[in-house]
Amino acid sequence: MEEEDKDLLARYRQGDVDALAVLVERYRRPLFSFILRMTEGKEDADEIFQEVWVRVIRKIDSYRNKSFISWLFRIAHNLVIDRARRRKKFISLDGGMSQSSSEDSGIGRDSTLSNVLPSASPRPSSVIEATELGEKISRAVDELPAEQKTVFVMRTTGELRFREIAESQGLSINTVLARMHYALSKLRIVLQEDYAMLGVDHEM
Amino acid sequence: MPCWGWIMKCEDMEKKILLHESGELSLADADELVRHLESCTDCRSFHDDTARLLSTARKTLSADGPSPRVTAAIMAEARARVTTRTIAIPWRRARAFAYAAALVIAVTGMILFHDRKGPTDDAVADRPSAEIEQERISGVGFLLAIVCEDDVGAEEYVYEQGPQNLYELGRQLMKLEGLDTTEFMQEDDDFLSLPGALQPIGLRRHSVDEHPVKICV
Repeated sequence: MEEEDKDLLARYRQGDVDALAVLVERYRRPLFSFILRMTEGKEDADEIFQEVWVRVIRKIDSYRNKSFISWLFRIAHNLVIDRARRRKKFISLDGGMSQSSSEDSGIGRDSTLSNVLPSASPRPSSVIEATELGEKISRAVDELPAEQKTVFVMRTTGELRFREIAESQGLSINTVLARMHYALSKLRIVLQEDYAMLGVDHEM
Repeated sequence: MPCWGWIMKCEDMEKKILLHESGELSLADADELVRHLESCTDCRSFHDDTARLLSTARKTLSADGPSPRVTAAIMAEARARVTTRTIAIPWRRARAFAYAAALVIAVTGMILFHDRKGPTDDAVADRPSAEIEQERISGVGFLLAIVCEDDVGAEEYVYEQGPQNLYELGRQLMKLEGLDTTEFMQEDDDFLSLPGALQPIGLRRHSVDEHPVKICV
């Protein structure tokens, strides 16, 4: 049976570095995939991924016994937003670009995420993304409003449950479900003609 | 097609479809969902489309992972941190108590000096008590600032020592000064606040997203 996150953290607190290595490996792909999708390229994603874990290591004593994955993704999400703010490259909702007037210009976490998170950009290709359908999905996800994209990407690449996403974002589960629902509705419209090509992994 | 009376039910079912997909639906709700899907083509279509879309999106959006050098750097930091924690904490704790001891000596000296001058000292007698209290609070804030001001900074001190130690030191110092310490009781699991009186004096609260409160000098 897989050792729980909190047990691994406890072991690391006691000086067992291997326990942290297990955690890093456990979340390597989901966390990196999330960061990569939310940033502008692999170099940025590498840096943010490293910074996330450095913060985990430094703040491990302040971590309370909540869901570790929620904490981890909350740090990652905050760093993604911070980086976007630092670059002062705001993408407006209609796709136009403008410069921020100030770093502290009253940017709220939920109301203006769309303004700070990066828009679609070339990504490292995977087998599926290399196909036309993969590119279409990728582009459609990148064009979602940032709040919906965050929830969708956390659920798909991060494999977070909705309760964990809610905890990570400081939202109610109903808000998270609503954002996911809106995201799916938009993607269904964009990808309507391609549904026959989409694969099914599980049935009820 | 669902009848109109089902519209509200269908909205509810779409949420349940999402929760079922993530494994968060109770058995009773899952049974209800299955029964609904048997008779509602719209919800069945939503369910099938969602399953297909999420399955394909997972494959499309997933990446392999960071560069190996990134993982190596993280583990190097993890090892360094373990070493630092092992070595540094006793020294820092000892230093905190050394500052506290220094304060006790200083306060004792001040009291003795104050008594010798006596109540006839106009300079002291004329000063409002609020001003004297403010000075005492300043003194405590200054000492706390010294404790935090080491080679790695206040933030690191708090991570290493845990904020409770800093608060406890502050509380003891304020008690020594005869100041009100009731505000120090306002702590809960996630949020530790310094008494308001100390915040403008060298210690201030700094809110960050992933850690609600940091102590900064």
